Amino acid sequence: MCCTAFLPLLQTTLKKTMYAIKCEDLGKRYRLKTNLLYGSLQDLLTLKTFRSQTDNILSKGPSQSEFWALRNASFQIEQGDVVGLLGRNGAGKSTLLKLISRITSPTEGRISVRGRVGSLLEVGVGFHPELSGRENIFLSGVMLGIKHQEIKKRFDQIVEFSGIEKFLDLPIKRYSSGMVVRLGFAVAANLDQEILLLDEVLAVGDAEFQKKCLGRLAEIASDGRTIILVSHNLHNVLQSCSKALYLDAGKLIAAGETAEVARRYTDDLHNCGPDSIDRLRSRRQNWDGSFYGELARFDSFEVLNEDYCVSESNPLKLKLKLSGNSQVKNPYLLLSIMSPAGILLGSCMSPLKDFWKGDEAISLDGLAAKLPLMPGSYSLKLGLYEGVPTARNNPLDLLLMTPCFEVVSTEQALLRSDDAGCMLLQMTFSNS
Amino acid sequence: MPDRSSVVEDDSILVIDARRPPPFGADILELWEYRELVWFLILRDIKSKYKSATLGIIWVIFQPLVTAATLSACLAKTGVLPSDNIPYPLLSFSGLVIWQYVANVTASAIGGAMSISYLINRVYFPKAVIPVTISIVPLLDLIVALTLFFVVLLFTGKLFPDRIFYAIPSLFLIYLSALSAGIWFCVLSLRFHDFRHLAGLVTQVWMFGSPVFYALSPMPPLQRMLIALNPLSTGITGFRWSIFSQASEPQYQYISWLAVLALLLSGSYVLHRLSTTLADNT
Repeated sequence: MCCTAFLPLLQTTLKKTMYAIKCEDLGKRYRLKTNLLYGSLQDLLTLKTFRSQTDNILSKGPSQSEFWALRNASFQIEQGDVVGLLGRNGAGKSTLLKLISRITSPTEGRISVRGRVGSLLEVGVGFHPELSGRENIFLSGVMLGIKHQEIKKRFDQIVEFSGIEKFLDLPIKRYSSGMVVRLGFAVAANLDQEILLLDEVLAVGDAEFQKKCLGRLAEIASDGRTIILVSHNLHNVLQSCSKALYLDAGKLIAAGETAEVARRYTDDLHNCGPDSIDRLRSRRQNWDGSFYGELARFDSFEVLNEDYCVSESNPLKLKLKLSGNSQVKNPYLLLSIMSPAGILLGSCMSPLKDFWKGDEAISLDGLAAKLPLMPGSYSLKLGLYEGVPTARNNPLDLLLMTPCFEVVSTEQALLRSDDAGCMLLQMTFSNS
Repeated sequence: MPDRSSVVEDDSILVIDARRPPPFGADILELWEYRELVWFLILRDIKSKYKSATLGIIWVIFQPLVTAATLSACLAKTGVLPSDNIPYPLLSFSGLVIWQYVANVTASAIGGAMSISYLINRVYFPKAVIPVTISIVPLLDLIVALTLFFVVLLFTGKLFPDRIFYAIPSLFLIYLSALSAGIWFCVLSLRFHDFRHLAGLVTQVWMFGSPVFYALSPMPPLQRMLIALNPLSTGITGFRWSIFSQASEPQYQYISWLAVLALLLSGSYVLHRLSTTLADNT
């Protein structure tokens, strides 16, 4: 009697410590040069690939032609966790999701997965333009691994979520792109697997639909299912995830509670001394072929505000170090602020000619007296130009920091940039 | 609020180990797990094909009919091509209907490989799904054409009913030939993006090397042994033998069955090896 009474309790404790995903020493290597096995018959017949490969090995060694998108990643995700995956572009986030979902196979290490994995790396996978919305719901659902019976059961729910009842029997080539995305997410929101992998999918659709998606995500999470979510929006991760993983350059830097990991991530992001500033350059090369930082470059970049928080009493303070050579005659600095969604909000141009000759290193302080911005996290883009920065003038150096600073406000604390837009309007109403 | 413990129904753990890739045989089991996907892809292809062409069924019969008629008009009286005393229009039509199926499979193997390669990077599915789907979809055309063919034969009284059940293994051999060709065409076009230029030539050589519009009977034994390496030759000859009384029996059948088995296994193995690296290279 006594034993059976304890059994449910024992089971719940067991369930809690059970992992959903376990990765041990996981690594994935990509080859940059075309593999001998893939290419064209022409190359094979002329031994072109073979020759270029041997040339490569003889001259520079194998390190030039391959790189590790992910290496030595070991972690465990418990059942029922909602895990945010943080990291800059190219940190290995998508690679990790592709490995767990078996789209690609690991080069070393192993992954153990308990339960079925549903992955949504893109919205509308498997849609066929000639088929109707109804047929595509089934096709896409089955392709994502939902059982046919399950789709039948949830069909009305899917249609209602997408909000395209009226167009259900129209071929989707006649749909607007927004409708296709809604339909795609509606199918995916009904994925019935125990483990869900979602990549950037929340970044689609209008604000209202995004909100709906986030709500659905919370619902799924409350079902006790395991979710891994990749999002560039730190705010979304902080809001919806209980745990987080932080990847950088293919290495797992931190794993654990979201707040701690997110802090580590933002700290690293803002630590941009001479050694690490290269990470802020999204591209190394300009469109015209010249290299960033060739004539003049940013040597370091710092946000001086404590916790990177900006408020009315604590305006945004920046510190920059620049260096260059004497070819730089008329340097300009262009600073742009971008919303969490990546929309360019505004810029400020400042000529540096009067106090920088180009061939010496200087240090600059920046102060934004007043930023009319809603609370939220914002990104910063810094460009260094020779001459007035126009669209046709290629920058000498370009930095992008996402996210860069967080606007906090006491009076508008209830509003956030996600729902209320980015501009803080200076407007008052009074009793007439 | 759903019961938390009900979420994970079974505790089966999937282990993906870099040092132990999934075994070759596991592909078959996996294909069975993904049977719903195969079914929906087949439905998709059939639906989209007939949605854009309402005359679909007519085309199926039109093409071999016109070709057979042309060939008959030009060649039947010259006696250039051996025909086993089968009326030449019937001989060429039976060959062409089957060839049309095989050619459809190889053509969609190339097209299908291209159209599906964008999916490979976005969702996981066993790669064997591709050749299986493309070998089944054109079967519909074949069934329609053969049904009409049998109706015509019954009407004209040319059908020889005694051996009719031997048509089943012959048609199965034809299916296996098309499937293994589908796998190989798929593999080659995924691996070499310029394979489609060569594919036309390969298909054409295969057509002339198969008894599509001639009969094999006058060939010397050595040549018949060699042509039996092409499983489609035994498939077509066997099919004709099962429906026409005067047709000659296929010889060296075991060579054809061994050849098709070898093609099928080697193709599946190459596809299996390829599938682990496919997503990284497309």
